[in-house]
Amino acid sequence: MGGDMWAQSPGNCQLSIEDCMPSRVHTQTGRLKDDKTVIKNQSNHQSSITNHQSKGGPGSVFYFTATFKKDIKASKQPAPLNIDALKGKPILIVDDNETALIVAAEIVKRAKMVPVLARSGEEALDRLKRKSIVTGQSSLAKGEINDHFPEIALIDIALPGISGHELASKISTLTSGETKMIALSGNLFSGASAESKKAGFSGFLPKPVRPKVLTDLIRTVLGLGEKQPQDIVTQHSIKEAVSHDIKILYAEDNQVNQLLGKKIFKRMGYDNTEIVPDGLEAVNRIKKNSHYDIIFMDLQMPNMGGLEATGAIRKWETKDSSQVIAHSSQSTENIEDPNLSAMSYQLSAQSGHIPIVALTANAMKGDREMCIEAGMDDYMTKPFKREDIQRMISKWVPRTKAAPQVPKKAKILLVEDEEKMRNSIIRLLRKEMPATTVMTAEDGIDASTKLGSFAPDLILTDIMMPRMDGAEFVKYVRKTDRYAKTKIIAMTVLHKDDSRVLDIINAGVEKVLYKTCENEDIVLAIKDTLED
Amino acid sequence: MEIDKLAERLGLDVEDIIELLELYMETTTSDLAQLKGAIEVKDAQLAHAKAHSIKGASGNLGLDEIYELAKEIDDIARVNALDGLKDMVQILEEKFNSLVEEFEKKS
Repeated sequence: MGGDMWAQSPGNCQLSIEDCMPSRVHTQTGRLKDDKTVIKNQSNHQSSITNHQSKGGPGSVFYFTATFKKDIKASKQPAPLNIDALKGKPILIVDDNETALIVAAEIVKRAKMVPVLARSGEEALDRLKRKSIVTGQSSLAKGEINDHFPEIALIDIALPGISGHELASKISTLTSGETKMIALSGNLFSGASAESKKAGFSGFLPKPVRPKVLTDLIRTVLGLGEKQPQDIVTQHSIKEAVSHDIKILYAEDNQVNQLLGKKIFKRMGYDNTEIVPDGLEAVNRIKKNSHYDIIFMDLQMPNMGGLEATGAIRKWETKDSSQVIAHSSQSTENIEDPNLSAMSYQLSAQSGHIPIVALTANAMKGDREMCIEAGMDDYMTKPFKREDIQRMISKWVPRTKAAPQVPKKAKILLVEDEEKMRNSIIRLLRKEMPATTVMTAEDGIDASTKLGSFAPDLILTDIMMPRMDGAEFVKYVRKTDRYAKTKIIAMTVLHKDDSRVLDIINAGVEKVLYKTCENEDIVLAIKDTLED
Repeated sequence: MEIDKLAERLGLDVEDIIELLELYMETTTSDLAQLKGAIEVKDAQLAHAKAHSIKGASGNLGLDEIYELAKEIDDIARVNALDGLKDMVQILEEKFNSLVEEFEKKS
């Protein structure tokens, strides 16, 4: 199965991934506005139809909205972006972490911007005050002084000395708002937006920064994007364009909480959420259309409570899925491939259980047991927290939900400066581990910039590399919570007592491979590490 | 009522929170009226439903004082009791009214 990908794309995998990036940037930004319009229309229509349905009227909400969405998309082509819009613009980047500074600089350089680096708030202010933004690499001659403040600054919130927020207020005053600012924070869920807005920031991004997201945000903040900046722009608002393709059912009787849930799910990028006012309606929806990926269920609701509704859904599922299984085993008799029949069996078994998460206001002892006993999968207490919802979705909805029965393709980032070595490892992986997706990078900086958009399960890195070596790169990865689960294997020609090897071990790698190791050792090490 | 903080916790914009609070004021005004009526006619089940509704909405919007009071009323009415509810609802109403005032001043 997994080998197909390689067979169909005989070219270098690195090329195919890289190649599709610009076009993806394009369509996603292009869709942003359209999607928002659709969502608005959709919600209006949905609510009217929901009312209609509860009176027993005909028609399917899902069917209707799907048609509507397509129409709008077909009629509006994404406008082409002016890719040169950012060219030559100086951008002030303030971060005390050298690696993060270099990574951000790399990203903006790709958008042809001119990074001006400062390692502290003091240094940043000093530069601005003297208006001595020396644009060393721009079209201006080296040392020439630019008479304007930079239009944009990227500021880490957690700076030593003058904090990011303080610095932002000072810059706002100093430049009379001429310099737009984007806040960076290492804490993914800091939700620092409100505070950042007060300090004068126009945008907020969690670290590690993804190249596409950063450049999109810069465009938006500078008013060059398609979306006009009205309020603080966060990654979340950009995320809306990248709709998560899962369908949520939320059963809740309280009107305020219905609206709250709707807003939160939408903001998290889950646009396909249906809200029902009680358990009875939830059961009806499931019976009509069981393609929900997850159900959030209030416990106390009129007509039918959450526990009772769960019982009814589970009962219906067992009955329904046994029919499906019987049907599929019959039809698979003619299929010779045993894998295929096993898979279709698994598929029907899997579709028979929709994860149900209880939502309740009182965290009473024994509530959890009661919920599990009723057939629910998990339990979360109000008040609503976005993190809780995200945790539940990540836990219960398979990530590659389109094909949950096919093992997830492991993503490997190969960091190696020597082209020959790189190609030989790619060939090896292609042959021995066809079910993996490989991205390559030439050194630590290149790898750091690719990290965010690729999110590898495993990193295979050389130690001695130009610009940023393996140990520094590993330190950078290990500092980011998001990659806590990413496995790292180092490869080197160095002796195991070499200080550089010890450095990378201390930085936190799972394994070190000493060249020249056998091919099978590499494969074995990767497989072992991935399985752990 | 700290709208900024609430927006941050829920990961929403201030405008979203204001919209939510407006809906909250509207539904709670109606719930409160029905809660008082239920106590007058000694309908504990209806009182329970209305207190529960106020509780549910207040909790998610971080309106802790109102939440706690509504929870107490809810717990009492749930077991078909109505003792002392009238006074508690009185306090609940006062707290709610001052919240409405504060909100109107802010927006």
